[in-house]
Amino acid sequence: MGTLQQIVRRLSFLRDREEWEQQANEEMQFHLAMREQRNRENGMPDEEARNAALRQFGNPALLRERGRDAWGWSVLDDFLHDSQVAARGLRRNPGYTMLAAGTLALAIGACTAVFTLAYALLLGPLPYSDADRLTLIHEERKNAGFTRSDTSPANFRHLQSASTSFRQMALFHGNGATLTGDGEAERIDGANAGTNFFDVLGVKAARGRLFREGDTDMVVISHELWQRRYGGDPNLLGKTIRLNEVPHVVIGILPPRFQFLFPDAQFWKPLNFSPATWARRDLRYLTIVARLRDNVGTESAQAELDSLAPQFIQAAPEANRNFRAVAVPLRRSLLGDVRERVLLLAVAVCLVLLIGCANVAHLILSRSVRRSSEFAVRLSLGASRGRLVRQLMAESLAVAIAGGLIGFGVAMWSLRVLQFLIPTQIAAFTEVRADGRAFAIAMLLATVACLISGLIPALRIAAINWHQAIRQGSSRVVGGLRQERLRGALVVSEVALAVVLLVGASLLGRTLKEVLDVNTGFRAEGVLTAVTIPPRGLQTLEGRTAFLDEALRRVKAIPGVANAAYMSAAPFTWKGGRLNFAVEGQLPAPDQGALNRQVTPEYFRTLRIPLRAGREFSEYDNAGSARVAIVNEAMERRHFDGGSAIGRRLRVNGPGFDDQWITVVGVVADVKEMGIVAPAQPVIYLPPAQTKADFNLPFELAVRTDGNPTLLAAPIRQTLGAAWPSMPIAKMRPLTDIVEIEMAQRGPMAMLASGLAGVALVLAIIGIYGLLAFSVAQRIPEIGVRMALGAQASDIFRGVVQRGLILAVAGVGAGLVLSIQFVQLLRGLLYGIRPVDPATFALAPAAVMAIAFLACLIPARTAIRVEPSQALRSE
Amino acid sequence: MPKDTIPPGTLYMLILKTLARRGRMHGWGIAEHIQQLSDDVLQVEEGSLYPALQRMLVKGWVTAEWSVSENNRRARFYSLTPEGRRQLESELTQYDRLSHAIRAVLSESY
Repeated sequence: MGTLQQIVRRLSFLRDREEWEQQANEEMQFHLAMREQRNRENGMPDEEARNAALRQFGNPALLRERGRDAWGWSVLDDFLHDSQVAARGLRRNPGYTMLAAGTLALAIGACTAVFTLAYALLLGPLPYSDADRLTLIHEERKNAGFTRSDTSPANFRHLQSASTSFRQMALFHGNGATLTGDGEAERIDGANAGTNFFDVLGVKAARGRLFREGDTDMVVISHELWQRRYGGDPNLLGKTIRLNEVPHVVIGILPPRFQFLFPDAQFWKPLNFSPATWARRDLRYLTIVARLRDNVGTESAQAELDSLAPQFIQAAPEANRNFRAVAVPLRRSLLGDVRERVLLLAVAVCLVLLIGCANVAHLILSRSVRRSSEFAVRLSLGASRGRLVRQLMAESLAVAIAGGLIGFGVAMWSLRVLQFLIPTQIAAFTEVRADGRAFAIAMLLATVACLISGLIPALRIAAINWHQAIRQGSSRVVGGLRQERLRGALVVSEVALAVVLLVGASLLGRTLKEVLDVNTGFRAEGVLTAVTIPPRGLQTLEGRTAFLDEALRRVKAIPGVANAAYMSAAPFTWKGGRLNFAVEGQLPAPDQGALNRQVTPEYFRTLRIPLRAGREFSEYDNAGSARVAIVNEAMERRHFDGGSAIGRRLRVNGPGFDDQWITVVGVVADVKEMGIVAPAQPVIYLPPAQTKADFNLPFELAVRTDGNPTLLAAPIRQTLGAAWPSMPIAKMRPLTDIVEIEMAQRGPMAMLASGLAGVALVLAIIGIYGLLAFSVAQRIPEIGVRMALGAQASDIFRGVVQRGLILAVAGVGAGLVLSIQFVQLLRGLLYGIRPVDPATFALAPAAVMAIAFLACLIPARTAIRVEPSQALRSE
Repeated sequence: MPKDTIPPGTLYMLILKTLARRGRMHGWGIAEHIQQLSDDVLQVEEGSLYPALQRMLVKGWVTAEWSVSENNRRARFYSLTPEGRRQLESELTQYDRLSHAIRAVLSESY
């Protein structure tokens, strides 16, 4: 009860504030008057009576403050007062305010954006239940030059029964199909998966059901396909759709924005292997997704897989030669490279934030120095040091909050720019926006920035020995040697961090240049590609050959077309299609594979792939003539005993391939099918006219012209449309687009790094300039004395520049040492350049030194312009 | 007689007792009263008196109102509240008990 009344009383104090102040004053006056009267009664003369009373009374302001404190609102009062004073102070110095807030805004904005992105990518939810327990299992085959590979049906069954680390596992592989019925024919991507696939993932259908044991000719489609092609028809379940002409019953629809690995999978079909297929160890095109048991980690699962390897080798010594299974956590698979890049970015922006805080700390310090006499006086009058620190922190807080708010805006813009970092494998359900969480991050960073940049100067100021200060005069108060060293240390660290960022950005930039310069093996400029989906009824060799011939004939008749050809896939677009082969005269090797591509006669000419030996395919290489093949240099080098491949024979093993020997008639230069920086793989090129495999493959058209290839789009559609009116022509784009996609994120990454380095440099330069300008301003009396005593302008000039350069050198030195560590983090991102590249490590510091030198010039000029007489007078 | 500083806890008690005895008083009057009765030993400093009065206002032990003093000046007069009276009782009891105990220890004779 008592406390409630007390609270009411205390609240009433707030309401009656002004009145209280007046009354308190009046009460003091009364007391004073009474004492004065008493003194007079005791015989003191009037004047003395008054003075004695005043002295006895003490400090009225202090008294009032103590009285006010009794009401318990002091902390709030102080806070409000401090904020007002801070706001006023900032308004009176707009330049300082904008510089400090702007610096923090940039740094906080960049950090917020990167942290928000990192959170979404590394910790964001995946649309599978308990996703952290999911792993992908690959086979690792070190031959054929690359590591991750697919597994076979028999190996899967073996693993399923032998392994105990996993609760469940399922097979899957990517696929594609032509969808017909209910509209235009269209080519869609999809996947085949085991009947327990969705159980392993823990995914439920949004409508209908998912796979069940025994399902054949059923299909589950994506929400997006359901909306787009079928208008969200609620009665679609149970109806039939035709995939590759085969009717499939739609049994279920997946939830919206569902995605598993494949960026554009629109349908999922249950796997249907015959017993013969299940027994195959060598049929490798499948991947496994597995769910770990509750108390098993990836490491122990991997250990188990390693211990099981001998079993596999024993079970199939030829097919499973060098067998090794690798378990990779799902999220890691999905993120791939991006994880490293994002973490690296996070480190970089933290550096920028530190630089920003150092700058702001210096700004605050410099500003406080000018007010040091004010502080000294206040301390001498009895102000508490705690109060002083709080007041200074209020200013830093105001700047930090302003920086945080503006920084949030910067983050919003930055996030849009950073979208390119989201891997396509998770793009369907990953949204990175500047939302409430981002705002909280920005405010948190602002608080951290406030503490870092404000606390040290505040504590320094509050530690002023005011006795000394008042005696010595203001200019010496906060200027002792320790202060100088602190400021110097700040600048040195800024320069060091800037050097680190500059080195990193340079390395990434060089990598970009190297990658751009890589010889892909073909010339993309001037070529237009398009995917055509052959009409029904062409599931025969003759039918397909006739189609390809007629289509090419029509396209070549278009004016401006220099060359045209069909290929089973454009470079970079299909990293699979590997088949086993055997070379005549060599021991069969079940695990040796080469990429397999079907190309029509003018292909190599169209893509300007150089012919190294022999000849290209011609119209005479058809179903009736001898079987021929062309190989690339990598194939020749690796599999033809060091000699020429021309005239040698080989055999390809796989579905649709018979046992006939094929003669090699040509060798072409390597094309980087697996990606720009990956080494070239062996490739076997075959003429479609002689190859019975894969009639459902949508061949890709490549057309070369001397001018702008996009101009050919309309004529091509027209001429092909005339012959086959309802044939879909998809993905019509210049080959350069495909190359650009392959370049993926290198360009934007390099630009991002350069941007950050630039920001860091600017901040560091401002730091150097600020420090020197301030120290010169402080030393004006000293300079005046020296000039009066005969020092030359050149001496003064040199002195200032020297100071600046010493700091810069120290910073650069520290920066180089840090860089050597930092670039190790970049290892995975570099190409064609060593992490510790001599040229970069020499040029970056040189550049920073040069700019630092420029920053010294203006303060130096100010120094030599000092008028000795004026300087001495101002002391 | 040398002046002694009044321990902070006892100041409340002295002020409350003064008001209980004399009814309405202003700050100066309270200080004078205490000083006189204690023969100048207890000198209440302004710096302690007024903050203490404010605290007592917050706690509800006293109320204050403006009126005219004996020499025709405006002054703030304080009076005891029932709660203040209760507080005085409990402080007096406590003080008695304490001083009794101290005296018992000090006057223990062998």
